[in-house]
Amino acid sequence: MPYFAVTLRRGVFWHYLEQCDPAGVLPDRGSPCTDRPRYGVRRPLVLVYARGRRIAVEASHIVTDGTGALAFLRRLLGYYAEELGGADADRPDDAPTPEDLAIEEQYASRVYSGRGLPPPPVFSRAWHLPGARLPRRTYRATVLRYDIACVRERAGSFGVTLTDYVLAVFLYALQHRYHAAGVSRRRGRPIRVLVPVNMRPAVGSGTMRNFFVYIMIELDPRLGRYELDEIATTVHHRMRVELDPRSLHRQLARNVHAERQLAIRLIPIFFKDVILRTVHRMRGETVNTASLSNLGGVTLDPAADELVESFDFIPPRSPVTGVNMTMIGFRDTLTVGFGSSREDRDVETEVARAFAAEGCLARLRTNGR
Amino acid sequence: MYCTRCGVELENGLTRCPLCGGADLSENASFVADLPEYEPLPEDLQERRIGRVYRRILVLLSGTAAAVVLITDLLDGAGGIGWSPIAIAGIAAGFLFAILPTFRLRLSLNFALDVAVAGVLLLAIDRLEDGSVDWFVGIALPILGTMLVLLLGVAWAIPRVRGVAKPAVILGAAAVLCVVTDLAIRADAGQALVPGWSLVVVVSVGPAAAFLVLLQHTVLSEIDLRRRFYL
Repeated sequence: MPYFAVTLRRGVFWHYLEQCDPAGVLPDRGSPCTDRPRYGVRRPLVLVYARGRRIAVEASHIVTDGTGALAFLRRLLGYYAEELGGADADRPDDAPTPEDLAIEEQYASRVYSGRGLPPPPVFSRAWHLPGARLPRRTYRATVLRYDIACVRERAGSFGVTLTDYVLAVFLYALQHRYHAAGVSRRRGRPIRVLVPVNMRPAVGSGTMRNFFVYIMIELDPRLGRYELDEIATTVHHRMRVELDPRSLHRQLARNVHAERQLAIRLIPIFFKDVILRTVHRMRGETVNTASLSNLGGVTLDPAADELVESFDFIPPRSPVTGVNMTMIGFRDTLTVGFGSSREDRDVETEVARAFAAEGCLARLRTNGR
Repeated sequence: MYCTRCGVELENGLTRCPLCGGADLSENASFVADLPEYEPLPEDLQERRIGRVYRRILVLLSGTAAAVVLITDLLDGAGGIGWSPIAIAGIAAGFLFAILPTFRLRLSLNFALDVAVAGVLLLAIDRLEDGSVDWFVGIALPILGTMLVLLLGVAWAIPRVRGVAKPAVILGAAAVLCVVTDLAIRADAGQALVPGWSLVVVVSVGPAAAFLVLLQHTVLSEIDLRRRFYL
């Protein structure tokens, strides 16, 4: 897959990707997502790390999203299993065809975005967790592994899906942190969780590059306290409304329309960087308290499946939100992952306590001390 | 082993939960039913804490600055206290300006108190100079009075106008203040009550404020620029 061995370059009007040599397998130092891509460093934006019995793929969002990175990892595991089994790993039918590469060059959002659609709603600033941050280049990954049957049974008791239920628990935990922080009504803001939505199934695309939009699920703690069942019901209905394909396509249109405008295209990259950094600071992650990415259930080829014990999914580091959450299923285990740049572990603890109070106990793995 | 505070199962060999720091571990999961309810802190506690710390820092900084000024004045060789009361009055005024917002008063009351503090400071300076209150009554008092009226007017108007009409209101108030200042100085000097330099301010600020009001009511009320540029 040559489009994963690319590095970021700076042009006159746009940044662009340039093919580079693969970096090989790097030693995993235990602090994921801290080695940010930099200009002028000819290093791929997708890296493979190894440590003991663990293989980690770290992908920059510049190149791909969680689904693309997972596809890469699955293919890597397939090759690895075949090498262990003595088979020829370099199968010719695995190489991307010219048609595959042509689709990747076009960028799926551009291909599938409709013209003339109204832009999605603009959100106000959301509440953010107070407290001290970890030093630079440190990132705490926390993983809670649950019996998926237990979580599914609890979700079923509320009449919601697994994702709805986990998101409700996350909002419930954030609500506790909000009230524990003693935020006044005057200074208070809504708690909003950003949920990325994979657009590939909606349009029948198999692109390996970024192809997702997001929905926002909101809880306003200024209105009072919500119980878990109330949050689960709200999340369930809100998700159904937001997941309407017509609504999702509005975001595709928004993402693409800005770069189609001639005036924006003609701005030199230096000014674009300054403007977009300001816009991102004002309108980017300030509108959500945290994010929840769900990669769904992972299945592997039988040969690779025998080799793998578990899957973890760590969200990228965010300078604004502090703690983000992920979920991924493998066999009978649901892994809830956290990536945190905050000194305290209050949110992770609250989520674990909320699940425990529901009768689901987790096995804990973390790189923090 | 399970942590009885957060309910997670720990890796073998750990004596403390890496998640919540709890050292109360259990070999089975029977503790789940006894997980305690959360005890939320009272509302506004965080703001009150921040306000308290901020006020302490202000007192410390202002007190230190006043002490340094007084000691410097005493040691500068002139003999006794000379210029330091004026400097200390300035520090005290700065302290009051900074500390007033922490009491979360109504905006109009805050403005009135700010003007009162400025008035007391100017009165003190005038008195300390030569024992009289000549320029305070002639110049400072009309300016302070106008400033108070304008601040109250701006505080009333700002929530009632939209978009770029807000800076237009502020520009208009600043222009009026300049005119009053100009006239007060001329009246105190015994000159004719005709605007001088303030006329230049009015001529430059007036069209800008009018442009902003027109822009808001003719263009921006019809077009949302944030949506237009997909922000």
